[in-house]
Amino acid sequence: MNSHPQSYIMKPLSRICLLLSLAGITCVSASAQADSTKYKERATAIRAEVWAWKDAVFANRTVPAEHANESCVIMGRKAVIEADTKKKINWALSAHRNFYYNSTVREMVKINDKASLEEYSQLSYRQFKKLNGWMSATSTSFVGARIIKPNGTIKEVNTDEAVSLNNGRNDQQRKLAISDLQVGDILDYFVRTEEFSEYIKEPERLIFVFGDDHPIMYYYLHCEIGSKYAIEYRSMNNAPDAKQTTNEDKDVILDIGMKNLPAAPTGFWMASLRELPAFRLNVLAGGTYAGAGRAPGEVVKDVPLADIINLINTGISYPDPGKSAVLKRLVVDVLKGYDKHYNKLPKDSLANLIYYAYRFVRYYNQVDASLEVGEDRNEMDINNYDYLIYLQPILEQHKIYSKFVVMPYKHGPSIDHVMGIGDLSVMLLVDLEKPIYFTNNNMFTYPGYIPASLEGQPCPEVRSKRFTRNQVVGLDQLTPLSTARDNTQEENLKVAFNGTDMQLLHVKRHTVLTGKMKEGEQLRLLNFEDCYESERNALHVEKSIMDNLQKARKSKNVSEDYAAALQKARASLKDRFKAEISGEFEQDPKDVISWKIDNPGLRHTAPDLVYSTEFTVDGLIQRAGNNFLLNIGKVVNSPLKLTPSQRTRNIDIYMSYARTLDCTVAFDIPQGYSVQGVDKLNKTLNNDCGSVVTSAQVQGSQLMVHFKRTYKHDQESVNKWPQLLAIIDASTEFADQKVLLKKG
Amino acid sequence: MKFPSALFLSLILLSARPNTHAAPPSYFGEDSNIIISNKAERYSYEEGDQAHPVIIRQEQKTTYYCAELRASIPWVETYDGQSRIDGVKIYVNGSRDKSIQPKDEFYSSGDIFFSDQRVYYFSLPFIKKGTSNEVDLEKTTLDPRYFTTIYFPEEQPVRQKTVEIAVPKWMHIEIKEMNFAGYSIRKTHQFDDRKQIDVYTYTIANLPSFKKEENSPGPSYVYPHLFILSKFAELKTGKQQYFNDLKDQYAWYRGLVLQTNNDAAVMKAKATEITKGLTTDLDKIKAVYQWVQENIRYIAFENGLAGFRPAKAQDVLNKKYGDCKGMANLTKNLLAALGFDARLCWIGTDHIAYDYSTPSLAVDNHMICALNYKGKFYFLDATESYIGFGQYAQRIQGRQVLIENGDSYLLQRVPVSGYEQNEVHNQYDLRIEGTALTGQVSHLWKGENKENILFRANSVYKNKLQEALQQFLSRGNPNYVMTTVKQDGLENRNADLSFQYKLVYNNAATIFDNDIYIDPDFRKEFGEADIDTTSRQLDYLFDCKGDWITETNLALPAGYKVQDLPPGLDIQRKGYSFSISCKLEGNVLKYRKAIVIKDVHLPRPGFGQWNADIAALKKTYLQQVTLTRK
Repeated sequence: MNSHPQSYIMKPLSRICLLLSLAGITCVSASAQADSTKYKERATAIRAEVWAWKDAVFANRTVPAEHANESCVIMGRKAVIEADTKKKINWALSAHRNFYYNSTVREMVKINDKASLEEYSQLSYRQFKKLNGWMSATSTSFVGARIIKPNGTIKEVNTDEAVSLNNGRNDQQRKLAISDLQVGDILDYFVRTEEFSEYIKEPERLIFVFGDDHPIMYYYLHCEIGSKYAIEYRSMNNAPDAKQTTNEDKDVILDIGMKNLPAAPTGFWMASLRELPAFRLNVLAGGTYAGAGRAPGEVVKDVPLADIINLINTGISYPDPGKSAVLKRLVVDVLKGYDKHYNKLPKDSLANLIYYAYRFVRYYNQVDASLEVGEDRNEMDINNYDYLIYLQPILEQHKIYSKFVVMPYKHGPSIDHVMGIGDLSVMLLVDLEKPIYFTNNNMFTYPGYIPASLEGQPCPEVRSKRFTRNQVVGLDQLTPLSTARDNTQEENLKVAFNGTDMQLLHVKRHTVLTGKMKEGEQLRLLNFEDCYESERNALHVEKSIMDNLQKARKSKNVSEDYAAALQKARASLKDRFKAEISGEFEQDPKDVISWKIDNPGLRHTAPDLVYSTEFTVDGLIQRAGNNFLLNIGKVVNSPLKLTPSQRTRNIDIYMSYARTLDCTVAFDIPQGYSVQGVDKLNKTLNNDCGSVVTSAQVQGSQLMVHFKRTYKHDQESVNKWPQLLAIIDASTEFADQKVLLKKG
Repeated sequence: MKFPSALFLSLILLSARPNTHAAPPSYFGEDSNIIISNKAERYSYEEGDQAHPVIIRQEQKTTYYCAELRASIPWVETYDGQSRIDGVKIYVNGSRDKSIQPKDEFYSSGDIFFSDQRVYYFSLPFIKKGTSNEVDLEKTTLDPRYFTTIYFPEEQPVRQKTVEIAVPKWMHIEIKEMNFAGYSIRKTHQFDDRKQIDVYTYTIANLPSFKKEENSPGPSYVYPHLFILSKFAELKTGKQQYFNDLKDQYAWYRGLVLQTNNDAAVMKAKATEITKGLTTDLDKIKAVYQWVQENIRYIAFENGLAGFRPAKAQDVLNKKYGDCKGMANLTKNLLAALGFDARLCWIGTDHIAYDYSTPSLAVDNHMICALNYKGKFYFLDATESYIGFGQYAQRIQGRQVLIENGDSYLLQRVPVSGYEQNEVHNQYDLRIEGTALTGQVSHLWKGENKENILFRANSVYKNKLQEALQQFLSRGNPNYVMTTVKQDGLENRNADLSFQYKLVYNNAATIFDNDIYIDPDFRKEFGEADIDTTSRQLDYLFDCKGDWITETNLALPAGYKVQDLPPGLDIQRKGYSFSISCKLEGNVLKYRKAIVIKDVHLPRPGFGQWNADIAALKKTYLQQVTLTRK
């Protein structure tokens, strides 16, 4: 259910490899591919066919003047998707259907500099792959390349010069160096992938994004899909509608093109799938073959959300009864161990307790074969649907009722543009006096936590009693959106000279991360063993993993391994904290003296991640005769560094979430010194997008500095960019602030 | 990472065996989990067939021990067209494990476009602490020329290892013992009278594993190993000559080179086109060299004998790509077409500890072109895409070079350049305007430092280059505002690279009351160059020699005088020096810094001194100039 559609936006590196993914997959016949002679014959035929395309897409070979300074210009790009089937009788006289799916992507690129020359100079491709082991399904790729010289002469690249990277029976990979390619040339190349499969055709979910790092003069997509397939498609973000026709074979023909696409705008604070024009296409083997929920020949433009919710409804309706029973038993065991009268708890407390017991069973009380208990253990991933469909019946068993709601990802296709289950995430909305969302972001998620990627999104219901076909319920509801106050990084720093070394600072730091601010640092800093013990104690679980390992006769030696693994993980914490400090101060600490998690933030009752560190750092104090300059700005704040081109912007701004940095520094003024320049640290900027408020004063023998920066919203429209820029600039300016420690 | 959905014990409770091994010694340090408790390697020279008259059979048994916790390690063996793997047996915890299916694939690396080298590999699992696994390998090297080194260290720490080399009387080899100092390696020699075989046995105990560290010398400088020189064999069928001396090696190389049929007419036409309008020899030579650097993409091929045979010059010309041999061969033939005495030459870069006094395929790893012009050899390495004519990359400086000379050869060394070749010079002429420093700035880069910038500049999209240069010059500081930027040398390998511009450096002067504080050095090279001695095991190699000079002339504003100046710094070491001075001359404050790397090799015992010197440099960098109102 987590299948993400192929993204068809090009990236700057490994461009030709990406083109391959663009081409998807295809085939001729398995036996034919094994025969290199037949492969060559087929390759020759395909090259002849593709080079013979008479297309307006590839007619223009002159770069417009406005693009003369581009590294390269994509003069034309055309993708062709073809899908067909044939009915067959197998050796057992049983009828079945063979599926054929071809994709071809041809691109003509004007190379204007060495960076692009390097980028396009090699073509790696998977010439042949057997797609599964037990039935016939293969994918074969063919490539062609030719160089168009500035004088118009065309030189075909000999693809027989491709070298073999892997020459296995079931997997053959090749790499071709593009010969005679020079700056000033046009590279005209294609990748055709032909896929053949018997009985079953996996769905193709494609996104063609009309944008690239480089300008595209003409981008065209042509699809010919046989009548035994079902098709879903839509245009989004101001892409034109596809023209739909049929041919004499009743194949569905789709055509869509865009011209004169400028280089895609900056990737900084950007959501491509919400901003760039794109065409989405699902090619589904209709009917009984792949269970795609569409009849053969069905063509659906702008897939109704209700259809997708229907599919999800089906998907969540049949959890594995065996697994469900085991999980119920394990969770109830934990609940009973916690309190044999747990059922008498108030509903909301019981719901939370069940969540924690379930989380403990699924995330904590587990040992995998590799005994991973280090930083990677924190990344343990359980599919959202899998997690929640087994949680819901346990809640129901305790008369706590909930419903599934689905929502798009904040930076993925919007709710109006979803085309499949993979576009939506899922939560349980638990029906309590005060309804609460149960989600599954990672092993640290607690009741009511909304992951940053799912905030503020429409969240229609699944399996609503009121749900009827074509009617979506709850579309007007939005998942909660956190505020800048909810997501705070609160820093308290006590800073002093490190003994007599007047150029080394000694820092005692206390950090509180609330809301979304803690998502990343929990993954980096929390030690599994500590979290496990914390949860085990909270749930009153008597026997630990180690107890169980030691008790089991056959696992006695494994318990020693496990203990060693835990010890190694604990030993890695210093480096993990060091990396965190380096990230915050943009330089490595000289020494990390101590580190401690004060609260891991595992529970809704104590949700903040709180930790303390003590370290020394140099480079922030400069000597000037008998005086010292303290770069106080860099102690409190490492601002974003924008490149000049990032300062101009013509698209909306997509950040992860609203947030606040609230930093207080208490600096011990060394005896015999006074502080100058404090007044300059008192500044206030407040606008629609954020605020920067700084203040400073000397209190006794300490310089107290307070810096508070707020980004008020997770998203801003492009017309607010100057205001957001002002906030960034104010932060940058403060980072340069210094105070003078004057002797005498 | 995925975890089993239910009960955690089933997978890991397979079989338990008593721990029969003692704990590993503590010197294994961090990588002490999987160790090689014993490894026995035997190499036997044997008579082969007509195609391969002498072969070397390798038999090895490696016993691994899991000392701390269950884990898996990659087991890898390589082979190529000159060798084969005859068999591998895997034992997990005492039992033969046939379920582990090794994979056999072409070696793939980002640096190499294609190699005929193959990797035979699998993941070797240790089911729990205290268990041992064994892997037995049989492998054959089909040509003694390719049997060059036996290293003692392994990817894991070694507790005990023996290496046995069985040499029949008819085979003549020399075994050189390399980097044995500091290791306890015992050697014995026995003669098997019945088989007429010399058996050399080396035993070593308690050996740390290989370490991979950036900027370190090649393994042949560092690790104990045997360097095998296979000279000749006296077989019943006659004498089989290998590399008895350098003449043999050269003859073998030469034989391969002569198989390359270059098209002189094509070369003549192209060389004429490249040098059209040029009149002097040097201009023509530079033009050819630069054309190859500019137009031929370097792509590394390592393909058996083809790995030693250059591609035809006309093929490289047509394809516009080639490996070092192809590029050297094209350079040579283009120059030869113009009537110059150009030659191919073989060279081992500074990654290799050996020279041609020990004839072996392990001695060299590179091919370049030598030009004999007016009695002097110039060396042209077109794989260095942006270096100038007559300048040499650190990796080939001072290296022995084997130059083709008909049926004989010449042996020379590539000239050693001084640090001046790679000078970087920054000149700031500034004055104070409010809190800004304004004035004229110039930067100059030479040699390899220039080459490095040209390489990076050419890796940037053309439409992003100006911004990238701006970011580079300003170090990403938005307060550092440049106008009227002039640059020279970005397109010309044979000129220095320079930038000149007007600077307004906002907020560079800090003002408190009557005092102005100024940082006189904006670039602070080597300020963070201390070496982490807790983790670094190997000597450090700087990328190149060089001198980094910064001169800042700051006009004092009217009404101000100097209150405090940063103290000077003068550190003079054998391999490097740091010197900083700051003084008032008239009304101008003159800051001068010179950092010189004279020797790229910083041995490990020198790390302490280096770190102390870097600390002193950094401390000086953190000193400000103080001006005060008169």
